Amino acid sequence: MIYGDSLVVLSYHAQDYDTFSNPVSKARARLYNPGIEPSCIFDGGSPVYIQNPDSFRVRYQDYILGARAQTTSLKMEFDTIKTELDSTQITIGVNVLPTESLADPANLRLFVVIYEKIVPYLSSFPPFDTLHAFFVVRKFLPDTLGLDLTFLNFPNSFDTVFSTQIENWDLAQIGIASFVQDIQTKKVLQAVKKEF
Amino acid sequence: MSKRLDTFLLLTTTLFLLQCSEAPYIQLAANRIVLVELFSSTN
Repeated sequence: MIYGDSLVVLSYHAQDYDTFSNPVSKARARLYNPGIEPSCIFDGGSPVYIQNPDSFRVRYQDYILGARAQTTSLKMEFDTIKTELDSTQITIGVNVLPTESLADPANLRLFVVIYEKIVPYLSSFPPFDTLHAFFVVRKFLPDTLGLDLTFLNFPNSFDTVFSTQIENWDLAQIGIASFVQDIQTKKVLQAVKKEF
Repeated sequence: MSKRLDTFLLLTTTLFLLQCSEAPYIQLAANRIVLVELFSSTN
């Protein structure tokens, strides 16, 4: 059971009372309507709820393996030269390369995500311990609607660069991810991540 | 679902995904990378 860099994990907090609630998480919740929490969505599929703690590991493995078994027509990578993080700004260069003709690129959108890998927070319940949230999504670029990739097709690759100001984030914990999603079927075709 | 179970499930889920995401890299045939989106709540 080793997935490594073949797995990109993003965590959304969509409830109003949540410490990490933000418009991005609410937008993704509207897209998926996940219902019960915690729930996981693998490559844009249906929400997966695990209510039996003894079964979650096997079921999640099954979903990960199932998603990995799907073929993809895209390669994605971050541009190592254009992608930079400093104390005030983050710049992210993304390359998307179709490896074959795309059947229906009309609904494809590119999303770039900034997240924090580990974020401490104070529990609101006794004994009010410091807890940690993981993979906390902070921002989507260009926005939660994504960048239109209608024009994308084999054999032409597509490069783009996004830039945004650093907000109240821990620079040591910042990670970036990017993925291409069909906004009609919600299927995610490919993803990539990088941690600084 | 009880609050305790909910919290436990979130913890186990997160740790599982963390463990998976930090494991050594394996090159896949099509360089297939899976996006896992987790909806959860802190309190």
